[in-house]
Amino acid sequence: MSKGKILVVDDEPDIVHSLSLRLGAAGYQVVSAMDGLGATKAAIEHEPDLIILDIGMPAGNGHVVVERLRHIAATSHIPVIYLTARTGEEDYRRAREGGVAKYITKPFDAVVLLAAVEDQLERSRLCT
Amino acid sequence: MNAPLASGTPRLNLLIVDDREANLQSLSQLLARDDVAIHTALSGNEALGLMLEHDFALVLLDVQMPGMDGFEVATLMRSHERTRHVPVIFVTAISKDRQHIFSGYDAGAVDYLFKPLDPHVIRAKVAVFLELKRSQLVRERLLESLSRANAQLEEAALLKSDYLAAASHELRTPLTAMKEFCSLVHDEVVGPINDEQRRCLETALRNCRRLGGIVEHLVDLDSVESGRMRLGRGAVDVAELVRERAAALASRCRAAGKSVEVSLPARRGDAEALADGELVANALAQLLDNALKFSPPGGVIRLRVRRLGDRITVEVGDRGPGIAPDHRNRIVRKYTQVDRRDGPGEQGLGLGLAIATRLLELQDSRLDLVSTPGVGSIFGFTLPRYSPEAHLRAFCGDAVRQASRRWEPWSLVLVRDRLGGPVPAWLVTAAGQAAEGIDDRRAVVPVLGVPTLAALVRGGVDGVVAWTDGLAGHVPADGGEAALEWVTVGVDETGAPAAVPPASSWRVMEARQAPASEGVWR
Repeated sequence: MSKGKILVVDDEPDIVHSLSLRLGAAGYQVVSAMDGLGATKAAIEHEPDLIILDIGMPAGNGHVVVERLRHIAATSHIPVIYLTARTGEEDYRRAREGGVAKYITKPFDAVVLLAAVEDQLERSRLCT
Repeated sequence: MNAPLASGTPRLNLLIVDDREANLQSLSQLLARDDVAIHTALSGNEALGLMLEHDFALVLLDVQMPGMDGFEVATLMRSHERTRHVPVIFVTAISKDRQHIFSGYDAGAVDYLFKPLDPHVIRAKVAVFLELKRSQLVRERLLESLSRANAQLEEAALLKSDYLAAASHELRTPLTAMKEFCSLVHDEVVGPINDEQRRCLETALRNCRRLGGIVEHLVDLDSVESGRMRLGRGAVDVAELVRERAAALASRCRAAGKSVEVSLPARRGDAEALADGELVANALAQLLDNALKFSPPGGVIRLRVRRLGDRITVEVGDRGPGIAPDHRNRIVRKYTQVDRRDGPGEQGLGLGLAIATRLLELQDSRLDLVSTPGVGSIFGFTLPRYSPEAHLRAFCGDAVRQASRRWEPWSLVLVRDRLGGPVPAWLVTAAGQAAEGIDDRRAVVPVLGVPTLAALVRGGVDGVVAWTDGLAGHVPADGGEAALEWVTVGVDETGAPAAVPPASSWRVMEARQAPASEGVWR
């Protein structure tokens, strides 16, 4: 049985591919999207337990996606982890404002990412 | 008498005002020069009209004229921005009694000539004013080109920062994929591998991490240099910091067959420095990296913290190859690693010591080096010992220096609990939000033995009033803990604060409780 459904969003196919392998091996079910619009659609369609989201993307960056998801009842509660190469103060500020659960910078450590994923899913389970 | 006019030198405009045509003609002839264009006016009105068209180096003004007299013309000139600073020579036959009328205006810009006129005197006086105007024009041109060059430099620096930020972002993405795919194979996510393959992948991963470190360093160094890194100075226990770092270093040392020795002051307070703890930790980390990198196998890295009077010194000694005297200045510059052959294989971009140097300079410290080629090197730095007075002084100096290169009126506002209790957390938050648009920088500093919120507020008295008023509006609704008092302290252009006034000068902060709808700062 799957440990949970995770939506991976990144405009780099290589990153999506590697995350699918890594999360799949750890027992998660993975769905993916390649841009901001696709992310919103996939979140509504699949209602994942967690979203791993890039910030710099076409058709709506990560901050825009988070804002959209917060306004949709079906997706407003889904925890989001940022996985991004951006390290600007403005990005951190918007992440805090959008209620993003964790901010992980690229290049990332797989152990750190998996721990954050597990931690978030655990919190969600405790809340429901 | 007239030197040939240098090409490109603009002719200066001279205005002569007199109600008699004959006087205008004789003065014009007397004062004719190649480098001067002479304009004439028969009345004050005509003169003022010409002044709006031309930029005059000097006006020779007849005092007794029908209609508007010379003094009235000058008064009108002084009331207009365009003509306010044009020098005037009054030409007059009357006594000196009325001179006092203009004594209050721009000193030196007004002079008198008495009729009958002496040709030598008038030529000499006019020449002096023209010379003054020439040097003023040269100065203005210089200033203009300087400020243009300055703006270009600032733009280039911004461009460089943007470029570095973009480059690091571009580098991070492929690096992430490279590292992650190596790691997927290494972790056997995609199938089993043998030991030889694992070792190969470990090498690849180690190099990925190194590349990541270099990318980080590039951005770090840039943010230090462009002044985007903010200082937060306070009391830092340097001994504790060194102890922590040494413990972290020890395991890396053991892996490389090297060891660490630490020597700290016996008394706790003897290692308390005034510094930004994070920046010191970062600088120290760079020095330790360097020492580890250049120590030979079996080498010992010595860390020592000492108090020397009002200063605390930190030293990192290694048994590396040492640095020849003529190479010492180079190592603190960016991208230089002295003689790469000397390194025992672990090489970097040479950014570490440059970063350490900048981090220390930010705190008015510097990187010292004692080195003997073939024996080893000792890198060290010195920090001021912590005292509340030094803390307040440093806070003001840093804030003024970082806030603006221009001098503007600054006021230091001190706010404290009247009973001497701790500074409430909501106050620190509110201080940053109070009076929108007024730039303020704040820190909690012990003043007169009491924890105090120090804020540097821009905008003179008005700024202080607006700021304290804004702060009062943030007082929590229950208000019980808001027994605050405040005082203003002058700050000079270097950021040095005046003496803190005694307790009797502090004023009670009239708490204007926030309406419930505004929300409460907690």
